[in-house]
Amino acid sequence: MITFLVYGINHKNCPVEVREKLHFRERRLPEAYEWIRREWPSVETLILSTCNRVELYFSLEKGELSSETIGNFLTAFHGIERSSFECFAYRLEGREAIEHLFRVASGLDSMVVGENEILGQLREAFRAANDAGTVDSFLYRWAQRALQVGKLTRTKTKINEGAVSIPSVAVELAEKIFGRLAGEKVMVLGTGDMSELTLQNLRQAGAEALYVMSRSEERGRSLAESFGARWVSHEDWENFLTEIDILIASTTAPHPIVKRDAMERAMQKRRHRPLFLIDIAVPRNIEAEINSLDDVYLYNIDDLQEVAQSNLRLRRKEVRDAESLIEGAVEEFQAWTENLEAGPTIQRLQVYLDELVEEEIKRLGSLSGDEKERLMEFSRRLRSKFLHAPLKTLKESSRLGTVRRTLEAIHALFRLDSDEIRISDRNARE
Amino acid sequence: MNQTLPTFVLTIACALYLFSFVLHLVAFMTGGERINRWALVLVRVGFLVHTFFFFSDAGNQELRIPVSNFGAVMAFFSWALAFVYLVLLAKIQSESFGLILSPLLSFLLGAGLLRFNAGQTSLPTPLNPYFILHLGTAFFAYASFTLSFVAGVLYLIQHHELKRKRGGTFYHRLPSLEALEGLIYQPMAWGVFLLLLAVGIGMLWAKSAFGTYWLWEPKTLGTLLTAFFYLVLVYVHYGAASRGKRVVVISLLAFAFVFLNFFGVNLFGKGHHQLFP
Repeated sequence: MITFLVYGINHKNCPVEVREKLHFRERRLPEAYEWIRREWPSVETLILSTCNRVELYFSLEKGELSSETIGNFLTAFHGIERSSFECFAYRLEGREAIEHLFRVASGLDSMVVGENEILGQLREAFRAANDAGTVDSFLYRWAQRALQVGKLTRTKTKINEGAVSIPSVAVELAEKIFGRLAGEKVMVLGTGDMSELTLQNLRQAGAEALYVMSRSEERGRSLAESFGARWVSHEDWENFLTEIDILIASTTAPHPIVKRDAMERAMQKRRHRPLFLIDIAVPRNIEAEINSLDDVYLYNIDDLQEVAQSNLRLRRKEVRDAESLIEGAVEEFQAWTENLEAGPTIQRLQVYLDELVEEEIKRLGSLSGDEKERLMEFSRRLRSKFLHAPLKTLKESSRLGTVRRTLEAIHALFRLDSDEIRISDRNARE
Repeated sequence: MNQTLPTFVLTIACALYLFSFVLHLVAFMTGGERINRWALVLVRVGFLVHTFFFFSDAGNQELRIPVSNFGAVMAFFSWALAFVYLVLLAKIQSESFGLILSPLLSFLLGAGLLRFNAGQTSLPTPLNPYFILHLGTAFFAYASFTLSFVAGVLYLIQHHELKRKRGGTFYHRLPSLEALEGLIYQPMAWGVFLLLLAVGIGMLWAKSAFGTYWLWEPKTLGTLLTAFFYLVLVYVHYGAASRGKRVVVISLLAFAFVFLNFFGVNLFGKGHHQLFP
């Protein structure tokens, strides 16, 4: 009997202090896999460790792997108390485990619904487990199917569409104004981390960093140089408003430094070429009334967050579609595993029938060649008709996820010697 | 005159445009890309059926450009509109454009169908090639201005959405302001060129038909005024004299000239440009 199992903690209820203690660093992963191969040689294992989750995926053909055993491993490996994480840990088995991995791969279990990063992280984790030799046929197929499902949900639904972080929303808005960014000029006021990150995103999308204004010349020049831009002083930055398309403001000034009058003059000179203003400073750096000017689009941090929330709501609408895709994939995967489980029983039932027929033919004594031929034909037909109904039932129960009950019933009814056949031959299965 | 086949063909085209609108609407509400693709397919099929109308009609009329009554004018104008959008603007088509264009096409065609078998205007025979070219270029010019107008409306909607800062449905579905500007000014530039061409060809035809290059009629004056107005707008945009919302609003107002010039001729008295009774 194949068991699929997941044990782990994630961002939903486990605080980051605990998550970081359980995190498997990349350089220590081979050591962890080495331990697993030594201690649990018959268990297939995959470790998925990101900043939001630490999960261990297992598949077992026989035996059990208790939460205590897994907890002990984590305790020993990370050197932390089991009680510090046990209350946050979850353990899922069978269909629930299969579905969980598919949801994780699709980004439905992520902090930001539909995010793409998790798919790459899962692919990387799969590669590491494969290299370590802890993945064999069942977990291999499970993880591979999860990666396919992750890709499918992203192509068939819009689960990953629309920007949901502040820098990416800024890029999305810039593209809604200027179309695909191709050399749009950016000026940054201030040298905060967020403005740097936003500038980085805009540059990656195709915009060009032109000016950096900072009261501290040294910091300003350093940031400007790293982006191939020019430093401008806080006295004359307004003169460059005619040259730019996007302005990011994130200074620590306690009052607005971009005033309506100056902007009005600049827009006249710009001949109303659209201007996108991003105010990520708190308190705000740009006067709010500027947004009433034609062709000036001003977004402060709250506005950017509002757009991000709207995009997130749109993504959530896609969750139902993604879930129905996942449900189909889970059913298909479960049918595959249950079919595998049913294989030996079907074989045994066929052998049982063949033995019965052979025994009865022997009892009839000596028969002519023609009679023997007709009897053999009769037995073949009887065998196939007799097996038709149980095979059909097994197929249906594979689909419904009740194959184990059906198999137990067949074993009980025909007293099949299960020990001989339950030990599967993996090559034969594949 | 047997009008059954052309009417039937136009009815099919009108229905296809209407179905396309329904699909566009569903796609707009749900964001279904596949539905949108089907909607575009329906407009294209509608356009092909619409094109077939001219062949089905050709046997019934001496004139190959059907402008003999209101219905025929609407059929030709809506076809020109679909042609400019599907063929000339193929590279810069926008999904949301279909949402406005498909009901417009079905409305124009539907209105035309209601009066498709109305009385016929007597047209000069035999037909002068200048006359046919004059009509064709003028119709395509008006179709281009109509598309420019539709893009202008979409621009203002997107502008409003960006100012509102809520990331609503229109914000998500409509193209960028830059792309919409392309959809406003490119057809506008063609429109100006075609309208001036129509005036030039019209003059040649007037000379051959009436012995004078210029006919003092409300429509000829209106056409010149329209062409001049749009020419200024094209210059303002491409000459980078000014951009943004205000120019777009002016371009929408300029469409009033097109409307009056196209339909208003009957209001200002009858002349050589009265195409339908």
